Amino acid sequence: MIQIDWNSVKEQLLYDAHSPLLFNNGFFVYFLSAFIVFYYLFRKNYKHRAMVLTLFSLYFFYKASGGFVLIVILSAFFNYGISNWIFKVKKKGGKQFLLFLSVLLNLGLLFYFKYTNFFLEVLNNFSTLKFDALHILLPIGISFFTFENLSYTIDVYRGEIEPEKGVVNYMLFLSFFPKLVMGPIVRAKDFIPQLKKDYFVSDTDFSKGFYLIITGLTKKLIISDYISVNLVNYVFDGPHLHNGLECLVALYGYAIVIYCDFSGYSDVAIGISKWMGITIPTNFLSPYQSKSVSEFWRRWHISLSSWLRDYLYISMGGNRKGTFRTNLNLFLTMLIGGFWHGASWNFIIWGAMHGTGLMINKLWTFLFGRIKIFPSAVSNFFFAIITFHFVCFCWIFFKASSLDNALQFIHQIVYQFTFDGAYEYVENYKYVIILIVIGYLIHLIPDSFQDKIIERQKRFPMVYYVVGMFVFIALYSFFKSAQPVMPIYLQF
Amino acid sequence: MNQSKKVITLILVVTSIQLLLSVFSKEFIGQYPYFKNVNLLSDILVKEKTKKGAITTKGIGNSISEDSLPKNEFEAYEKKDALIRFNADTAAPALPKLTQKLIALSEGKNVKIRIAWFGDSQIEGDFITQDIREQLQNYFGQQKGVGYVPISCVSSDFRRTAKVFTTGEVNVDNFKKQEHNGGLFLSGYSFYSNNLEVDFRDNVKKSSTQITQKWLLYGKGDSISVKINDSVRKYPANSEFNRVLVGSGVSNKAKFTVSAKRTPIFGVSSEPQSGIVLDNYSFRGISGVELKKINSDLLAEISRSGYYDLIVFQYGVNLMFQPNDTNYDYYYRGMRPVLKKFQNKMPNTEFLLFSCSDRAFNYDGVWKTAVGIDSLIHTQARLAYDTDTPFYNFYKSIGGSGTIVKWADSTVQYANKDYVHFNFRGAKAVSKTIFKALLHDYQKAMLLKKAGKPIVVPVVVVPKPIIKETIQVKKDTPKPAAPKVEVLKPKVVKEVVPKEVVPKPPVKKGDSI
Repeated sequence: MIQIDWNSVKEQLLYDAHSPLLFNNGFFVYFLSAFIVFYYLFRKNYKHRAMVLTLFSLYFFYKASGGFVLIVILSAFFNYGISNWIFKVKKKGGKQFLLFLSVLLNLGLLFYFKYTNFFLEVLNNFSTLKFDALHILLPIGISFFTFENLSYTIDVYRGEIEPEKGVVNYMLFLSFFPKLVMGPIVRAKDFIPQLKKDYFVSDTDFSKGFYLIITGLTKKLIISDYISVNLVNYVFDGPHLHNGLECLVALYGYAIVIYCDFSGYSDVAIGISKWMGITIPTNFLSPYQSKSVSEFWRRWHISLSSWLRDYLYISMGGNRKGTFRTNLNLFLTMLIGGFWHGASWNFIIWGAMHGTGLMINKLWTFLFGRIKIFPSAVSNFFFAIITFHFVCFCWIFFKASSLDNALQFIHQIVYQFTFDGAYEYVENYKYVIILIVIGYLIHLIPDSFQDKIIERQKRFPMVYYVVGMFVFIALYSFFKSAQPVMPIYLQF
Repeated sequence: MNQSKKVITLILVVTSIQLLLSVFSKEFIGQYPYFKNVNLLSDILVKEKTKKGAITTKGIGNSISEDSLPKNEFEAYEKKDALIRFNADTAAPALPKLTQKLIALSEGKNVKIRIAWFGDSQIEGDFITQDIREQLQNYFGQQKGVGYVPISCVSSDFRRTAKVFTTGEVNVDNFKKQEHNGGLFLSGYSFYSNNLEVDFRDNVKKSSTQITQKWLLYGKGDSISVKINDSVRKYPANSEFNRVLVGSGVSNKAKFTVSAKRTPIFGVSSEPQSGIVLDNYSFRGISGVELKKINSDLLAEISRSGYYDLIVFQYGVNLMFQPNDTNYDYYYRGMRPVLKKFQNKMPNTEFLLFSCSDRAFNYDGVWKTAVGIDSLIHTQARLAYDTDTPFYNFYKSIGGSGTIVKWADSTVQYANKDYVHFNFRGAKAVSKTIFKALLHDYQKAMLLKKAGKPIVVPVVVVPKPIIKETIQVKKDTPKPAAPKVEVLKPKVVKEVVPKEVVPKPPVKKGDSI
C-alpha cells in the first residue's frame, strides 16, 4: 500500500527555488484541478471568480518566484492608484508628471532587477571605478508585467481607457497565471472586460483550447526540450568543439527550439485561457514563413512587437517626422526591444541587427517594391529563404553566452565547415534532426488546416479528449527518459 | 452552448485517472517504465532508502584525514586536493624529483623544468593548462613561454595562447588515421610539407626584456631544410626527436619556411631559457589508450635528453559514453600497458595520473553525475596503484558528485551544457584547484628540506637508466640538430647550435605495444 509522506506534501505546497512551478510540473496538475473546481463553482459571480483567479494566480507566482510575489502586489497597488490619479487630474502638466513618475518607477524596478549588474560591468570596463557585482535574483515575469503596467498607465494618460475601479481586477490583470512567466503581454482594455462576463466556453473555445494546449505542450516539452538538450545547448556553449556543419545544424535547430519553446508556452497560455472563457490574442503566426523582416515582426511575438509599436515607436514619433526620424525610431525601437530580452551586449546587438534589417527592408521596398521580375511564388520563396537566414544569423547573438562565443560560432561555420563525418553526424543525431524537420513542417501547415481540425474536434465525444491527453502524457514520459544523444565530437 | 462543464469534466477525469494510475503504478511499471516520469505521487510518497552501489563503496573508507595514515594505502585515492603516491610516506611529496627542481628554481638556480600535459578535449585550446602554466610561471621565476604548439589542430583557431599561421600545402597525420606515414609526435599529430611557411606567435604575456627560444621540433626522416630570412640550412633527421632553433630573442614571434616531405614536423616550442615549460598535448575524444601508437623509440629519445620532468595524464570523461556503464576493466587492460611503456622508456621522468572529472547524464529528465563515475575512478586509481604512478583525484578536488551539473546550470556558468567541458571560467577555477595541489606537494618537499630530512626519491625498476640527472646542471637538451649544408649566410643564433656531431640514433626497435 502507498504511504504518503506528509512532510513532502507540506514542502510541495511551499516555494522551492530548485523547482519553480511551470506547466510541466506534477504539482501543476493538482493546482489546475483545484483551481477549476473553484472557478466553476463561482461561474455566475464574476467578483468571486475574479477573487479565486487572483488568489490562485498569486499563489502560482509564489510557487514560481517565491517572495517576489510581493512585488506584483505592490506594483499592482501603485499602478492602480497612479492611473486613477492620472485620470482624475485635469491639467496636462499634472498628468504628464504622474505618467513620468509611473514610467520612472516601473522602469526603475525593472532596471534594478535586470540591468544593475550589466551597468556595473560597463562602468568597470570604461572607468577606473570598480564595483562588485550584486547578487540580485530576477523575479519571474517582471519584464512582462512591467510592460503591462506601462501600457495601462499610458492608455489611461492618452484617454483611451478609463482606469479600472476594482483593485482586484487590476491585480488579476497583472498576475493572471497562464501568461505570467512568458507572456503573451496582454492589454488591460482587452483583458479586464472579459472578467466581468459569465464563465462561458463555446464549442470552438473548448476545441481550440484543447488543440493549443496539446500542440503547445508538444512543441515546448518534446520538440524544443529534446533538441535543446541533445544538440543546441552544448554546441552553443562550446562552438570551438564542433565543426561548421555541426554549428550550422545547431543553428537551424535553435531556430526551431526558440520558436517551439516560446510559441509553445504562449499556445498553452492561450489554450488554458480559452478554457477559462478568456481570449488572449495569438502571439505567433508561423514566423519563419515571413518574406521580409517587417513581416517577421508581424508574426513573431506579436504581443511584444505590437507593444513596442504602440508605446515606444509611436511615442518617439513613429513615421510622422520624416524619413530619417522614421528610420531612427525603427532602429531605436528594435535596439531597446533587444535590450528588453536580456541584460547583455548580445541582446543589444541582436536588436540593432533587426533594427538595421527593418531599415534595409523599408529601403528595398521603396526602391524595388514595384519591380517584378520573377513570378510571385519564386520571389516569395527566395525572400522567405533570405529572411529566414537573416533571422537565424541574428539568433546566434541571441543565444550565445557572450560576444566572443557568438563570433566563435560564426567562425566555425565560415572557416571550419566540412562534410567530413557527415554520415556519422546524421547517424548520431538522427532523432534530433527528425524533430527539427518536424518543427519546420509545423510551419508549413496552413492555418486553414488547423481550423478544420478544431472544427471537426467539436463533434467528438469526451473520450476523444481524454485519450488525446493520455497520448500526450505517454509521449512526454517517453521523451523525458529518452537516451541522451552524445555530442558528436566524442566520436571524432 | 456553454462547454464550461466539459472543461472541468475533462480536467478532473484526466487527473483522477492519472492519480489512480499513480497509486497502482507498481503493477504496470515493469511494462511501461517511463510512467515514473509522470507519476503524480512520486514527490510525496515515503521513499525507500537507497543503497549505494557495491563497486563504489567496497573497500573504500569514508573521508580520510590526510595525516591519519602514515603511508598512503590504496584508499587514499579518495583524498582531494593532494597528489598521492601509494605506499609512500604521507609527509613526502608525490613528485620528489619535480619538487626538488622547483625548490632549486625558487632558490634562483638556472633550472629548466618541462612538463607534458596529456588530455582530451577538456584541455583543448590550452584550456586549464594555460592557467596552470600561468600560475606556475608566475610563482616560480616569472619566466614565460607557451611551450609546445602543433602546426595545426582542430582547436588552433580557438587557442588564445599561441597562433600558427601557415602558407603552403601540408599533409596531416594523426591518431585517428588508420595508416601513418611515419612517427606521430606526443601530440598525436605529425605534419609533412614540401614548402611550408610558418608564422608563429607566442601570445603568453612576458616582460619585454625576457628572451624566449623558439624551436622547431621534428622527427626521423631524411632531412629538413629551414629558411629563416634569406638563409637556408639543411638539417639531418636521424633521430626520432630533433629540434632546431628558429628564433631567440625578446620577440614573441618566429617566421620561417620549412621543407620536410619525408620528415615529420612536430610543431614549435616557445620557451624561456630557464624556468617552467608546460606543453599542452590535447587530442579530442581520446581516453589515453591511443598513446600506445607513439613510437617507443621516440619516447626513449626524448627521455635520453632529459626533456621531460613530469608527464600528466588527464583522461576519463570520454570513457563515460554510455550513461549506465559501471565496468571499466577494459580501460585498465588498455591503459596499463601505455603507462608501463612510458615508464619503461622514460625512466627519468615522473608521471601523474589524474582521475576523470565530473560528467553528468540525463537520467529520467534530471541531470546527474554518471552512475559509473566512482567505478571509473576506482579503476584509474588501480592503474596508478599497480604502476606506482602518483594519483590525483580531480573529481573529488573540484567538488565531486553534482559539480558539473551545478556549474553548467548556474546563472554564471562554469561548464558547458554538455555537462562535460568547463568553459573558460570553469577552466580557470579548476586550474587553481590543480595548482593548489601541485603547490601542496612542493610545500611538502620544502618542509622536509627545512627539517633537514632527505626528499626520498622512490626507486622505480627500469630496464636501464640512461642519464643520471642532477638538478644543479641544466639538462634540457635534446641536442639541437647541426646544420648539414650551408647555403646562405646563417643567421641562427650561433651559441646554441652545437658544433659536435649529432649522436647516432638508437637502433630502431619494433614498438613493443
